[in-house]
Amino acid sequence: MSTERTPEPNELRFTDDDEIEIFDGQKWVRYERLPSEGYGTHRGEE
Amino acid sequence: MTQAAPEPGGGAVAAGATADAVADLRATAKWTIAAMGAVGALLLGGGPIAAAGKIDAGWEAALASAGLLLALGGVAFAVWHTGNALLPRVALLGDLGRPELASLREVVERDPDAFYGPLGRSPQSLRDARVFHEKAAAAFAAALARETGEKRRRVLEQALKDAEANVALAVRLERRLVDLIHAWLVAEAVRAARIRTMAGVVAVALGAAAFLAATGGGEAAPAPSPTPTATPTATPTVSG
Repeated sequence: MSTERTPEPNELRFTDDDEIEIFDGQKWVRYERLPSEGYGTHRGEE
Repeated sequence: MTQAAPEPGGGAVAAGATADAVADLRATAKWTIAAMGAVGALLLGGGPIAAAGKIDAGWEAALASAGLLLALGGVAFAVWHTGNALLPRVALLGDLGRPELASLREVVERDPDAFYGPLGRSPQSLRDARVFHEKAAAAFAAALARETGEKRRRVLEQALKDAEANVALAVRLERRLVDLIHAWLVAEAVRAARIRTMAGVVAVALGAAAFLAATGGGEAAPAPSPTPTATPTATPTVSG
């Protein structure tokens, strides 16, 4: 019988190769920077 | 200063453009109020006083009074409703679902990437994504404070920077969408005020016509009396 606990949302863990993962509430995901350009933005708008 | 080219694949919505649109709409409403105020001043000016002497007691006085009241009521109606369009409006992301913003929803649905980026397909998903990345940033910062290993500290520092960049992206997309929602709400208010202003103008016209009918102001000016014209007379000639 498995005793593995359910992780909390936003809980962090390091993988074996020292990459970081975050639990998004449903699954562990590797955290990445999202592309920030090209979404209808206009250069210099801010 | 040169205008930078839009980002590839991007739309054409700039934050400054929505702010300018709102300012222009408000200026239009202010001019409408000024114009209707001028009409009101004209109605209350010398015309009615000068015409009062022409009014006989009875139905003419009643018609003139009713006409003047109707016209002034039309002015007040238009000024009141246009003034309402100038009231501050609070815009929320959730307002995108309001019936009067159907045209904005249509634009957003045409190219969701341009408005939500990589953060979902609805205002709620955009908000949820912002909260997720904010909490991730907090978790990275807390883990960084506890971590002693050099390599993991570097990983956490980079993750924290990435989370902060993601939060900034989410906030920027949210703010731009709220700006657009606000501009659309103001435009809708001005449009509704414009329709009511037209109703007010009709009331002014009807009231003025009734007033003029009662005071005889609409009568045609009497034709000038004919002046004798010099008709050429034949010069008597003496023949003989």
